[in-house]
Amino acid sequence: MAILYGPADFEAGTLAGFSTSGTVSASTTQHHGGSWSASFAANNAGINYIRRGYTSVPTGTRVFYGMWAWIPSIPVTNSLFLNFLETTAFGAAAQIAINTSGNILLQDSGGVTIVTGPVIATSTWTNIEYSCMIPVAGSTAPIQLIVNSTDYGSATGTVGSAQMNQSRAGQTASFSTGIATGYLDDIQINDDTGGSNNSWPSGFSPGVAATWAAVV
Amino acid sequence: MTDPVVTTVSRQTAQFLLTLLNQQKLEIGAPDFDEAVASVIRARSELRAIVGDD
Repeated sequence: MAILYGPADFEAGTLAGFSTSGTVSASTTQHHGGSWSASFAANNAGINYIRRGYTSVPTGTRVFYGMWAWIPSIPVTNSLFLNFLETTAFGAAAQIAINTSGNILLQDSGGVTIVTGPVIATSTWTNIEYSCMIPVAGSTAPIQLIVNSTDYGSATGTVGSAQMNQSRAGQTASFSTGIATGYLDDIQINDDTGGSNNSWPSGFSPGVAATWAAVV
Repeated sequence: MTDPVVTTVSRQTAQFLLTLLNQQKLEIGAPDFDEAVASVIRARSELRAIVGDD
């Protein structure tokens, strides 16, 4: 296995292949490449997301998540919890949030911010990628954040011990964010196996930060 | 903050609840599984803000 799923470009004009919750749809209002993206309502206290499952990833295997995101403004009332890698224990191994300062945050399963990324630029597309691995033993491992092909580093967080098997993207927590509709496009998840597509979906290189060396 | 899960609890209580939540010893009531997962993320975020290491 190398590509777990994707690239999901929504060019069929549907959200086919994803399960959905709340207000989400295929949209031509914004798009990163092609003509379509996935839109999600981000201005309510509900949950509005797309979810895709994949074969459970063995422990000790790195997963690389990549997506393009577009939001019209910085969250005002609460963070926007934009994405997480879900596990068979029905929780997040790691997640991406955008706080009310606009910083892109990489958090662990306990919601602890492990890597603080840049302030997201609004009304434009941003490439957000992160990497996570469930360790063979224990429940901590490095997680790493890449934004627009810049490495914001990695550090060890609590990711749990349950295998990753799906992901959600959109407004994944029931917070009112104070922003309007957001968009997602070109979502791809790779693992570190196989002869190709075994690192960052954007092609970012080098793919292994120093803190990974001890556990990979 | 709109419709908070947590309203007024002390930092110590928030830390206690956060510990229980992270140990999966605290369940969040929700109409279905998806809402429950979303509510846990929200509760954790609010508790962390009270604890002060948000």
